[in-house]
Amino acid sequence: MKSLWVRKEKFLIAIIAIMLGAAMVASLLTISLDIKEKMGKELRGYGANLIVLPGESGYIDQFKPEHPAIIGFAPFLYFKAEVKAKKIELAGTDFKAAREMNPWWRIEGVLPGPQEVLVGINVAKKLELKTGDSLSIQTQYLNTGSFKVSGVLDTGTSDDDKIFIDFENAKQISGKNGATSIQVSVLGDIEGVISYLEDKNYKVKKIRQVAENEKALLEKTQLLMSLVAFFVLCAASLGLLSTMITSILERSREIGLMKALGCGNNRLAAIFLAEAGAMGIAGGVPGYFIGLLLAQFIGLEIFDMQVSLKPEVFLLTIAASILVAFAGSLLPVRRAISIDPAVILRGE
Amino acid sequence: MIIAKNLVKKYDTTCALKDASFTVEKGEWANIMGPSGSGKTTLLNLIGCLDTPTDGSLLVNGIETTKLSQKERTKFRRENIGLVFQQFHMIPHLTALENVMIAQYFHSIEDEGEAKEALMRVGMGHRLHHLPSQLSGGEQQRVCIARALINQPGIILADEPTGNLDKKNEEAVLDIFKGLHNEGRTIVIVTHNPEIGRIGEKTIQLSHGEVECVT
Repeated sequence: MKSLWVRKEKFLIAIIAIMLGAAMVASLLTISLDIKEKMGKELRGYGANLIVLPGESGYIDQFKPEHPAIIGFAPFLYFKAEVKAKKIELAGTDFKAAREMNPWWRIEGVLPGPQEVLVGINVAKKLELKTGDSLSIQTQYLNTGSFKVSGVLDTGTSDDDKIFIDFENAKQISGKNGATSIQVSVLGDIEGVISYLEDKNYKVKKIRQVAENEKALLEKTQLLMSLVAFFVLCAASLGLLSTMITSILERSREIGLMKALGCGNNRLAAIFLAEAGAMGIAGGVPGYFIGLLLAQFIGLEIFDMQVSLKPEVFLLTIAASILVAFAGSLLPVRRAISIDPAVILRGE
Repeated sequence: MIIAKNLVKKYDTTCALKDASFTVEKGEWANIMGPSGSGKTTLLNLIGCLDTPTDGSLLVNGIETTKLSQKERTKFRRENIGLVFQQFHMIPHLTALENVMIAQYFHSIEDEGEAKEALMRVGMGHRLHHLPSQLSGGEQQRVCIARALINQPGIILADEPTGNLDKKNEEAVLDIFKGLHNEGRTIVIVTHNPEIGRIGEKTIQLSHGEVECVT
């Protein structure tokens, strides 16, 4: 290690290269593991996995599932009504349950109370509505009084084209007796839940609740970072290779002496690999912390999520750094092993 | 004991050593002498298992070293041979003590106490923690002798050990070799120095790669 210390300036570039590679690996792993896990948690904790549709009856008026894997559900009653002289799709729901099922809903305003509605952003634009405005809803069954807009909903989905009202209000306005669909959140045995609901004569559809675009973005970000990490690690390995080759050429007399004194090839390789490993650690440790900062930045800026520390990422980053250092050292170590002490000590 | 029979060493088309035959008894002091290019260092490298002969037989301490693999030669050298070079060959960033201990590290385990003792024996007890660059040529050679001795080898091979030293240091180094010889170690020295030639019990005179005479 002393020989590493006396040549620290020469090895600094290689260590910096390893550090950059380690930073990419650490941020990639943190984002992959942490953000994926958080997305998964949100999916399992709140999001719906299934859509339950009525069987023959047309409506679901009594939905009281008793399967232990069902951890939540929200009823939806869809119908059309006239609002400001335009046909608009309305959705009646239990706002508390629906909010838990759809944690990515962005609401400008608050969730509706009695005689209030939540207006999808596209509808709000179309009807020139904003939070605090009033509107009336007309159907063949009822000409309602005034509803106040409690907030504007932005989901990036077709829900932006709807007006959401309280489920009981919806039943009265539409003249329908139950939900047209139910979002169900399942934790665990999803196939068991499907069988259970189908046995009760419901139609069941699996749905993907994690926003597809976020998932795609995560995958693209991972791919990009994997490519960058790969090339940075290759560059680090090449940098180390060139530094080690130079070092071995400079130290050929020292190596020749070591061999003359009885240093075997395995021990000689171990000495150089230990030096490489030390460089891997020297680059890997700061690289990990830089990678964490990078992951935090990407998490906040792209996924709007705070990433948390993962001990296994530290170990994997250090392992990758050492591996890269070893890969870059293999050729130089072979060169060191091939040194003929007799030739070197003769001064040739 | 060293027994060489018809040793040949060729480098491509050049024959550095031709049919060299001689014997060095256990505990004997033998000098290898001859003009430059006569094959002295080649012969020393063969005895020290740093190189392999093209042909012939070489028995060192009862082992036919020409038949050893590279790994076995390294092990043999580590356990039986102490090497002293004209150019000292010390590791520049290690202290005198560490330069001695590195030979212990390759042999078995490091023992600082033993390494200090070896350095004190060659009169370097006061320079243990000095780097080679802080030592004179004579001091460096004494550290190298301590390094050669540290694993208690039966044979000491030295290539022009006084070649880079002044008269005073030459005498100091020769005194150390005399002490080692009196302890019963086999000493083989490549030298041009007639004074060393006089000390030795045997002289292997080389000329153009051939053993001219053994006296």
